[in-house]
Amino acid sequence: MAPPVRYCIPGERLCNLEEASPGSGTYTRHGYIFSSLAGCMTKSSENGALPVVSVMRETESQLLPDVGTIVTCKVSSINSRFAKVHILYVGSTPLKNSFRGTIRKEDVRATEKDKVEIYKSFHPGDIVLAKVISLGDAQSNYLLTTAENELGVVVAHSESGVQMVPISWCEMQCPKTHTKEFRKVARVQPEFLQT
Amino acid sequence: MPGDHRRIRGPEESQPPQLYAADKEEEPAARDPTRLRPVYARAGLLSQAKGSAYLEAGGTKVLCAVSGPRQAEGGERGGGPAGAGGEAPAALRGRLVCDFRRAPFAGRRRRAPPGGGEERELALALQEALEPAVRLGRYPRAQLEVSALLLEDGGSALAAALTAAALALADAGVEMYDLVVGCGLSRVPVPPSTWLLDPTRLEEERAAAGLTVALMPVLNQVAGLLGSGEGSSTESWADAVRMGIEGCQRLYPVLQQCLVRAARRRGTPAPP
Repeated sequence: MAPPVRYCIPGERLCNLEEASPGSGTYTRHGYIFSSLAGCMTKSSENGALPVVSVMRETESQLLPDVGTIVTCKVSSINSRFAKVHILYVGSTPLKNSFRGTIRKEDVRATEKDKVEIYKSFHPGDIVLAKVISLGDAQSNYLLTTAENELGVVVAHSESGVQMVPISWCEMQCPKTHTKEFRKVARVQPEFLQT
Repeated sequence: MPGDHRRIRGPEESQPPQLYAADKEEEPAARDPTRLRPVYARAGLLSQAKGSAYLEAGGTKVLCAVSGPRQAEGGERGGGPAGAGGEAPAALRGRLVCDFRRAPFAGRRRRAPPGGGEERELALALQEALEPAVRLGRYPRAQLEVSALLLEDGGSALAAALTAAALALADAGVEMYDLVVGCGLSRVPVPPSTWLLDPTRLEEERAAAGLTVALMPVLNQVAGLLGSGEGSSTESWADAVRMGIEGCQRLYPVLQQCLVRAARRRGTPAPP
């Protein structure tokens, strides 16, 4: 029989800090753990360490891009100094409202940062895997980087509108016209590829 | 007689003028100054909004919906020290955008939708009272939109809107430190000037002064205070605030039950 579910509301005092440690959806104050969401309280019993108390809702609450997460974005415009992108997915969860991000020229790749040409790395409309390096300050957008082998362009369309096939880390070829175009291509791990 | 064009012809029949006189207004009945009207609260009723709540207290009916978090529109904001506990620094904290609207059929006279300064003032009061309760540091660069629609004004509309907005935020899964409960008060014009808790529309119209108290019940902190009217002694205002705080505490269990029922209706979450 399923254990009785305990529902809690924001501000409800759950337990003492000595009995459990706070998890997601909770906050601590004056030595007690309070709930921060309206949902179900779950207590995970760990071996040895204190059980972790967390409050869960049935739908994962809107994820916001956090520093260090891999995000999927679409390039909206390019410039000689940076590329502006719309962040569409955080990890594998789609966002309901897209956020804006920026990939600076020096964050496109790890080697020869100053010789990068944005036009040879991204084009508007490309789907790019990037990592968040900073939330940016009040005026700017999220700062992203593609300076790793697994990050960069995953899907790109050529001038003729056909999806291109990657041939090296810096080139993609159109299967119809066989023209090669420069992009900063991502080396996607084999387990993520669907054939 | 040929038509007389210089005179205005009256109607053929005439009726006594009393037929057209407005009904005499009833005086508000005497009542216990600390009585709270029974409240009906329901959360999670709109399928399109992220979070929603409907509150009815006597004749006052308020519907509130929450959407977001979405990308905050650009704005100059000064830098500040980073908050504790893994939250974004002050310049990047999320924003709460509140909107208070009065339906045209809410009062006795039809009011055209752009209600002018009053709606903006109440929206600002809503924002000031809800901000301390929401963990905005967990939503950097995002904005949460809260819109309250007053369907019928039966007295203490702002208090009902505050409570409904807090319920809607909790229903939307926004991280909060505590709920916000609102309570309205009004002072009787004739001496002895007693303060009445949760006034009806009639009592509010005839009042000499009005006050709305917003309280965070578990933390026992006042989140917002909005009052206006003729001055009187400070003790009188302090008594009113105390009365409001008590009223809010009495209202809390109803809201607790409402949220738990809404969570139960949503169903249990899948195990991770």
